[in-house]
Amino acid sequence: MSWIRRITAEGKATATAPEELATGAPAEPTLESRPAGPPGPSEAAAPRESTRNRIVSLLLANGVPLFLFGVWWWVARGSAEFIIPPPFEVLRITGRLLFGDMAIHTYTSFVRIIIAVLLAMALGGFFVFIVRIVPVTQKLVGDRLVPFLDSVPALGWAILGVVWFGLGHTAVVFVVTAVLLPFALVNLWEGMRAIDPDLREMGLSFTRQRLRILSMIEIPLLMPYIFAALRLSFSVGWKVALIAEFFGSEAGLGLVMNRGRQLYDTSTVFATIVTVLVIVTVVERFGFEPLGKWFAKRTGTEERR
Amino acid sequence: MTGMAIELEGLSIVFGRDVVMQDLDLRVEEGEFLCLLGPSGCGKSTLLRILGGLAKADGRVRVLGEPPQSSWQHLAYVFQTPRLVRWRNAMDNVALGLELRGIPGTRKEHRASAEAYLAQLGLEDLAGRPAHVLSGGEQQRVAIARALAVQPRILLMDEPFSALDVHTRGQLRAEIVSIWQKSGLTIVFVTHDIDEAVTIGSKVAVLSSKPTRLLSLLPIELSHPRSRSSPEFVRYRSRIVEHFGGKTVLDEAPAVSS
Repeated sequence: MSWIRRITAEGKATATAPEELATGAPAEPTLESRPAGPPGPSEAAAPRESTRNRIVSLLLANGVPLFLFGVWWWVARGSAEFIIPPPFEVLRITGRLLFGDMAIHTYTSFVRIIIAVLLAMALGGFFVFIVRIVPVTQKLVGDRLVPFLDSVPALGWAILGVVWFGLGHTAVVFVVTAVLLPFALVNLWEGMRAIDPDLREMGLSFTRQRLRILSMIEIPLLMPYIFAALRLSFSVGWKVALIAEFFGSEAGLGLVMNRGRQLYDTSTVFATIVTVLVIVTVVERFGFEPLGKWFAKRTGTEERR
Repeated sequence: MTGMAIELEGLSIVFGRDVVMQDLDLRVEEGEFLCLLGPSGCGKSTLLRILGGLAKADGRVRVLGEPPQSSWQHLAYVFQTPRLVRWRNAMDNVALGLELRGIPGTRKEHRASAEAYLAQLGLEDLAGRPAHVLSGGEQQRVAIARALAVQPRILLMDEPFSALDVHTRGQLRAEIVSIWQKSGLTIVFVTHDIDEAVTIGSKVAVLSSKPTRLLSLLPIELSHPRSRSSPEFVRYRSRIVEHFGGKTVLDEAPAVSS
């Protein structure tokens, strides 16, 4: 299907990504990919080299952000606060946004995004299911609905959301759902296409009930794709939710950002960005990553070292 | 008197302009162990799919007196590859067959039944192992247990041992013969290995290459276990080899295995 090829070509939601996304680590070259030949001196030195590489990598990964933080602090000293706010002021407001009097905005956005992600997954699943059982709808969904949803800008949905639903939760959830729907659709469809026909036939040899095959074989096989779509949708959801709340909400981080802009309170704008960064990182590190590892272990798709 | 398990009359398989099988007539009595022997591409596997209603063909097909669309619940398949699901352990893979077939029972009861069938195949100690860590032979045993657990009247086996090493293949052949003798199941076993067919079958249907015809339906009147060096075995083998113009090797697969 052209829509699958097009979207995957952009690298947004690829069919090959789920295992990598599930384990939270990029695929490593396998032993088979190593060039053949006797081990040479370079291989004997490999452990030492790899330790050194690890140290350099750690230093770079942590040192560069620390250095940039220092640069930020140094530049802020000589700048007006509304252009480059001091980092410690930004961190103070971030604390309020995460745990203090402004946390209600953060968690309002959080809940909206969760609802929108689940709605997009459910709708995506519904459309893929329809395409699967009524194949004549494939062109309608694949060549009309997905390109349409994919090309409408988030800003357009945000304005329409306010016009149709007014200020509030519904408008924001609607906008985020509309933007995430193509991600869910493409991932789930790719998953459906990748289902091993042999396993499907095995299922068919035991039952003629499509629902049993769907629930006991196809949905478990789709899980890496569902997981990949969830992971992608959650991070994209934050970007979209802030745009939606910027226009159409009486609460949420987008509103906080808009107020900060109106009052030239750049510290708050920075703090909003840092808050999103913290939440996405924490959920990724302590949610998706262990979940992905557990799932990969359970399904035997974990990396072999 | 036993009934008829399978009746095929004027069966033809055509893919576009490719006539794979033409006017095949075949009858299998209940309780028989029929080996379908023929070269690759002659439609043996497709024939098994037709019997289970997984593929369509022209001609009259009756399985236990009914069309395949009605009789599929009396059948179970063992495929060339085990086709186990990776997210379930050995026991739950066997239970999967019961769940898919909709056999009444709680999860606990299904598991108990699955364990019993695994034990029958000597896998009781591996019941809790994830499917993907089992060896090829163990995985195929699990697949056989999964098929037997639904208590089919006919077991359809599509070259189930062809991917295994010689030793495991020999073991599994003996086990399937033992299961057949104890259960009275009807087994249709696809193979392109002449020795395998004569070793395990109670009857061998010798099929030609495309367009496939039935060359011979040969009852094997030898007791189990069968010795490949016995004069009777060699005689049966020679009779089959004659049908292939003296060729002892069908296609790329070795017809004479050790």
